[in-house]
Amino acid sequence: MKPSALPDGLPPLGPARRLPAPSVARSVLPNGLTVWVVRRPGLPLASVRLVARGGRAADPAGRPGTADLLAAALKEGTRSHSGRELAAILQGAGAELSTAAGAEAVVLEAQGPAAKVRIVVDSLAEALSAPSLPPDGVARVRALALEELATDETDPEFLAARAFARAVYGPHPYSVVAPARTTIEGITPESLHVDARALLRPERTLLVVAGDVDPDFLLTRVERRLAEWRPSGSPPPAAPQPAESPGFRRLLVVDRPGSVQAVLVVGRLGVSRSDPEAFPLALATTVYGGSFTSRLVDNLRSEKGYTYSPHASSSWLPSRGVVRTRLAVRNEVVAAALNEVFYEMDRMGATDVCEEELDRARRRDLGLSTLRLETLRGLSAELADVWLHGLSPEDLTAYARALPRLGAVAVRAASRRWLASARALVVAVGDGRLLREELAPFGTVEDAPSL
Amino acid sequence: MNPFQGGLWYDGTTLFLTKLAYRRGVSYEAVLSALDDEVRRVAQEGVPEAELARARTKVVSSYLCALESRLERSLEVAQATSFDGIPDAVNALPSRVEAVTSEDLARAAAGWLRAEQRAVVVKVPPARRPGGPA
Repeated sequence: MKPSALPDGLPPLGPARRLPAPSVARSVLPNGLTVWVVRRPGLPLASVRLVARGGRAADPAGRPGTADLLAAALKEGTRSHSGRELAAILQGAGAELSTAAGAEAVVLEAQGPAAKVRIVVDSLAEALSAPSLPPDGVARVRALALEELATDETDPEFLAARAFARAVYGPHPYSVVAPARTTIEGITPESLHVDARALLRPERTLLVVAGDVDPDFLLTRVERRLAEWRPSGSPPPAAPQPAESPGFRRLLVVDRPGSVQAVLVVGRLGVSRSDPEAFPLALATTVYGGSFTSRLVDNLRSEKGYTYSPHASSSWLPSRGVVRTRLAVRNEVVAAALNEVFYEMDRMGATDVCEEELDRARRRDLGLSTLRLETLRGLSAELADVWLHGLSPEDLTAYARALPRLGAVAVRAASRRWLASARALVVAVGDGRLLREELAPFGTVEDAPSL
Repeated sequence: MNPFQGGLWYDGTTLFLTKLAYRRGVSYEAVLSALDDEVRRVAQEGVPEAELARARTKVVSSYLCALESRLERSLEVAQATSFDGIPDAVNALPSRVEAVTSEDLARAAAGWLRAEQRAVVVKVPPARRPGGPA
């Protein structure tokens, strides 16, 4: 079944619009803290984000997931306020603190009315620069993290993501997708204070404020409030580059006895945002499996009915992201579905994408880039990402600007390199005995290493 | 120690939904009873002005944040038109929230959040299999 054609007589699409880069006021404080402020009038709101470089990439040796636990513990209070008091202060400013660790950063974020932005900036700065990490708070973080891990481990999608990251990144810290049980059990207020001093440092931190705010006022305010924040101890060592993916196919099984369907993740080590092939690969991924009108969805969902939502993505991380396809399929069609995934991956490198299909993908990616910058929270998150890559705010819209020039030749070349099924890693989570049979036609099947 | 993680949703005029994840080893009866205590407290005592002021600010702020996305904004306008008959009602919500009093909250809690009108679903994780994921 082919997707239905559009009705006759529709007017043609208008020309694609430009996506202007936001204008960012930039400053670096004497203590090394970087400040970026974007004025965007409209709704009377402001988003505040503090980004401390490090994250899981800087986890101490043997304690994977420390950054996640530290991020959670930052909500538990400061030297001047308890966690409850901090939450109440922020609520009074119309905001709520969210904290998280990513591959490259510990991030604090809150958004509220622009008139109260001063309070939000002060509270986030206090949470990051003077955490109290109290014993009862750390005990709470530990208990909740253990519960979350137990819940996550019942989820085949989590098991697949964890096994895939471990196999792709090996000893590189990006191999961690969640804190290990031993890390959770081992944290104490004392250990977290040591981690906080190493990871949360002004010279490794970016403050982004986006919204209906006055950049001059904010920069002055921040200078006054944060100038006293001094680093102590030494920063964590830089993470090494991950090892290149092997030049052959690997098939790994995570046994989940009795499962009635299987989760498959297919892919390899990918690129950073500044890799010359990042943009052609992004467009290739959209054509292949990144959007609802992609080849993967047409084939596996619309034509064959093997799965509802196969999806492909190409992530950008400073020491290389991943290219991956994920799908959940019925047990009986694991081999049939994987066969089609490989076919669509290899077709991208074997034949040119026609101009009509390319243009649809370009418009879709331009639209998505626009949507990502539509909200203040989205804008501040994207700015944080370019900063973590060591790029400037203008790079925020670099992909959107490059799109009109990305043609079939570049897309095919990137696909040959990054989407070749012969060099793909396959992680399958489900009933082990059945999976070993279904995967046998594609190569040697191994058990995923146990944790 | 607070065993709760979760949040509250007000879903149109039909559902008031509370979702809570609680620690293993805590009984759901204990969780429900703690929730009942909080509802009873609001119904009997209302909410102190300082707490109410913070909550008003947060509700208005979250509402404005939701209007940022064009898709969300169009949904809010659609909802305002269906419930209030005029799209402009989207602009009136902040002042309506600012006007809410402690007595209003006590009345709403006593009138709507009644144990005999609710359904409770408790979902527990499957038993761990020997040799399966820990």
